[in-house]
Amino acid sequence: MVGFGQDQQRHSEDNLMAKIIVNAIQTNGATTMYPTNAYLTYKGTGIPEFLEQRGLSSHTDNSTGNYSFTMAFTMANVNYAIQSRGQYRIPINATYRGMSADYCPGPDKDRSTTTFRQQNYDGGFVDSPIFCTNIFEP
Amino acid sequence: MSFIRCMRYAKTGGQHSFLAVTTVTVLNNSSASGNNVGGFTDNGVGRAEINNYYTMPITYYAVCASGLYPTSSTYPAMRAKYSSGTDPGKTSSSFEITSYNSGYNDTARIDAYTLCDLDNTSGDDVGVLQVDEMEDLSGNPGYFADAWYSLDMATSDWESSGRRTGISSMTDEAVGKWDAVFMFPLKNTTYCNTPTAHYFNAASYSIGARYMVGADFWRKSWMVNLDNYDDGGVRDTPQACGGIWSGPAEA
Repeated sequence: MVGFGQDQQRHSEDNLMAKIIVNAIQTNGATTMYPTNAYLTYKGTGIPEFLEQRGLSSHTDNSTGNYSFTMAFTMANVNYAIQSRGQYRIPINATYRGMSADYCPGPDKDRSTTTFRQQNYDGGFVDSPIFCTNIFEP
Repeated sequence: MSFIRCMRYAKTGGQHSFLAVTTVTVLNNSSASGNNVGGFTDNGVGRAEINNYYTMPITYYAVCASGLYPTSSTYPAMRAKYSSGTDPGKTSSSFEITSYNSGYNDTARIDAYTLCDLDNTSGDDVGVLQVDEMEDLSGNPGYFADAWYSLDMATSDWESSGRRTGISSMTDEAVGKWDAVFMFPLKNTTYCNTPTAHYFNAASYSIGARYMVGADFWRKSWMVNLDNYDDGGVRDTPQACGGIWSGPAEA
């Protein structure tokens, strides 16, 4: 399991950030809208790592094409929505720039209020050089 | 209950930011739940229609979706080849998400969200709140999108009917290959991009996700490349939707 060091946490706190604490955000027309509660950009090849993340605390490389993530907070229940897209596993080439969604992660039904899994699978499990995920609380 | 109500939201760097309007989970193509879900209709195998609780001000809002591999004892978790596509035929009141590969397949779970600039007709910046993130009263965080797009590669339509926000232009590089240029440069190149595209069939625009856009790591802080590719090669799609999520811009 890989966690975030205090330095990274402090760096985040030092940024000039504006935050509001409310239960809901609405337009002036009273339409309620929803932020993503967590998101990640992840490198699954080599030594897997977050390229960017917010709302997460750690990740685990379970096996080839199989990763688990721990949120920095607790979801109200397990019915949150996960939206993911990954990149084709073949290295970048001049023709396709390495992109295809054939090998990309989908929403995992093996989940808890604090953890979820992302798997990258087609004919077998494969590592993806990059995938992106959004989490939305129900 | 506390809430904040504002015409527009922006990050401290100045760029407008956006939030999801509808977030939905469809289970076994038999039920749907989430936020701002107005209803669910089973349109047939692998086809779920979701009613928006709110009437969307435009037709071409972005729908991003991904699904679980159809039930399998061997691979119970997921497979994205059978994941959900986005619907070019969506209306302001509903959209369809589908599970498709060589045919429609019901799947145990599809998750989706929509993005739209609900006040896109206002035309001014009255009532802008600059905020980078939120936290609800239970301490759970929330983050805002920097941009979204709803692109028709087949007709090269990226700007009519409010098809994008936070995107200054989109460029057709070649068949199935587009660039989206951000209105504001992002902090770095590691932003989250979760695109979804519509299946392209030579005979008709069948719905499905096999030919869809992936997350590209050929990217810049000021633009992202969108390629639509599968085993058949690079192809145009009538609908490629996505959202861009990143941290606040550098001060």
